[in-house]
Amino acid sequence: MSTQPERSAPRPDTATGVIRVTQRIATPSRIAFACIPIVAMLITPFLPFAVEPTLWLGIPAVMWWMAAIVIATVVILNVIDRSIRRQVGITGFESDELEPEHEGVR
Amino acid sequence: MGTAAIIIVVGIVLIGVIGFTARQRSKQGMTGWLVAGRKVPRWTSWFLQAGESLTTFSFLGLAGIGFAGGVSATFAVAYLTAACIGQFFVSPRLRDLAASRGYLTMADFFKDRFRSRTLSVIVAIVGAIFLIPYLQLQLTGLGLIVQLATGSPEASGLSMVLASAIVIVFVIWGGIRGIARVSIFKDFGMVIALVIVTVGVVGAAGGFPEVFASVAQANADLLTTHAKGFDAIWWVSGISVTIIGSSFATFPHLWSPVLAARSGAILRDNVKWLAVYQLALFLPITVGMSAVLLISHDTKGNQVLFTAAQQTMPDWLVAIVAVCGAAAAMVPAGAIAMGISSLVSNNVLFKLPERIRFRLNHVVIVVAVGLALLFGLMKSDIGQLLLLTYGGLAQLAPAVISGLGRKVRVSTWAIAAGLIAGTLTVIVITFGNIPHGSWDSGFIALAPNLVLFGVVEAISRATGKGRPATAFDTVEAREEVAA
Repeated sequence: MSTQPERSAPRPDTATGVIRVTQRIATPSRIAFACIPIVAMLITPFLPFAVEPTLWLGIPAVMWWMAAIVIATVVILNVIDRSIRRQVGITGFESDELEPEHEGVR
Repeated sequence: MGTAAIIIVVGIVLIGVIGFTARQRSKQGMTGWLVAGRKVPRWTSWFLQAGESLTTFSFLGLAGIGFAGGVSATFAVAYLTAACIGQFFVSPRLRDLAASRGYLTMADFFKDRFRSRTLSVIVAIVGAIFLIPYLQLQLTGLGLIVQLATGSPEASGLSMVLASAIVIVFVIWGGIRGIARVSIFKDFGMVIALVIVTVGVVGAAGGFPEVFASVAQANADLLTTHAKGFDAIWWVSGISVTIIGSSFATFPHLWSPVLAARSGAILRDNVKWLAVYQLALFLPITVGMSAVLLISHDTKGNQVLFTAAQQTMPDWLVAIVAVCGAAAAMVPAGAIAMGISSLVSNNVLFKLPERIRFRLNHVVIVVAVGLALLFGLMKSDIGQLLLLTYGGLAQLAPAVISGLGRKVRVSTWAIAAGLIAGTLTVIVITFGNIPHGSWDSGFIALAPNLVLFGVVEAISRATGKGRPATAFDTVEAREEVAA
């Protein structure tokens, strides 16, 4: 996951002279990583164990599959949150993009 | 009045008392009542955010789908989990925008981001109207739970009137804090109730996990996502449109919990764990599938859980489960009533002084809940309208997405054109009985929505008309919205 855009230096707005730090939380790499469980959910009805009646350890295979997706979602979101916290730790900001209240006028 | 009815009435009153204990701590007017001064702490925020996961649908609807469609019912686990992913990115952004620019409602967001009072009024009116059937659904669901638990239609009507009155009182009195208090009771109560029902019904059906082998023998299709009436198109289109709608907060009543959080980080911190909540939904699904072995195949979907519970559990225990079901109806009902009233008083009646709007806000709550109760008692079939609620509100997603960036780069005309095209498509499909197979009407309607959005935006860029005057995040805008 590239962290290059997250650590960019504050950029002054040429029109207003306002320093804006565009700390993007929803980066393409994070969104792509987070979408893995969604793709897994959407392909579920095409998987063999969802087409044919299947039990794993006496429980429907689709239930195991969905439970695994739920757990994977929690893990993935925690990993992304950890990377966001590292970013926040570096810059001290919590917002995706700073709002006027957080801006400093040069 | 039987023992079960007495337990339920006492339980509903107790729920009201819990909500009533949460009085506003300070006189903050609409901001205090609607978003608790934007100071809601982590755990309160957790229960408010989780409020939409466990509702009457979890009690009544999901068991019914499990009964008819087997593991297809896990689609609810899928879309609610996926919604957490979308909210992880979107909710903190909405909260931060709202805090810095003074939004109290979804319509405020539209007014500010697209610089259009007209758009905000339209969103407020459409949102308020679309939420009425959803409010009725909660009250009707509550009445059905009580009727099934007591076997008395009179108790059902009485409980709906009583619960409506209590919702009105605790919402007016405590605002979002009142809803938060009841949410805590509701969430613990629902998980306990679902465990009780699962143990009772699954135990009677042969025990765990043997029950699934028996279900496979009775109807093997229930172990697949292709049971009669369910297929891959239904799964993909239904889940997709619900993920889009819930990720981008297209339900106006869900904005208050987001806007009330103390920080965006709190929201993100909660949402990253909230998916675990969805594991509880396997309980009603299991109950529904087990019920195939216990009750008549003609049983209506919404009646499956309580019909099976009554056959396997004592009346007093079913009554306690019903109280938790009532809470599951009252929390969303309170949030929806608050959503409707804030849209009307804050965004439709915007010309009136704030003090008068706040008073009228309470009147709107009474009118909205009263209307929904009336429709419910008259057993009005507004199920078609409910389809509009889901499909119609999902059409707001492109508009919300367009407003999330630091600068709004699309024209108000494009937003409005897409919104009108999408909503009209849902209306035509729903009321025109247009055959659309297993496709979700809201999903279909997103196509004309996006096409018209793109075409009008292209024209707008070519002509330079209809651009929002987005001097992006100016302080004046915040003052303007707050005024």
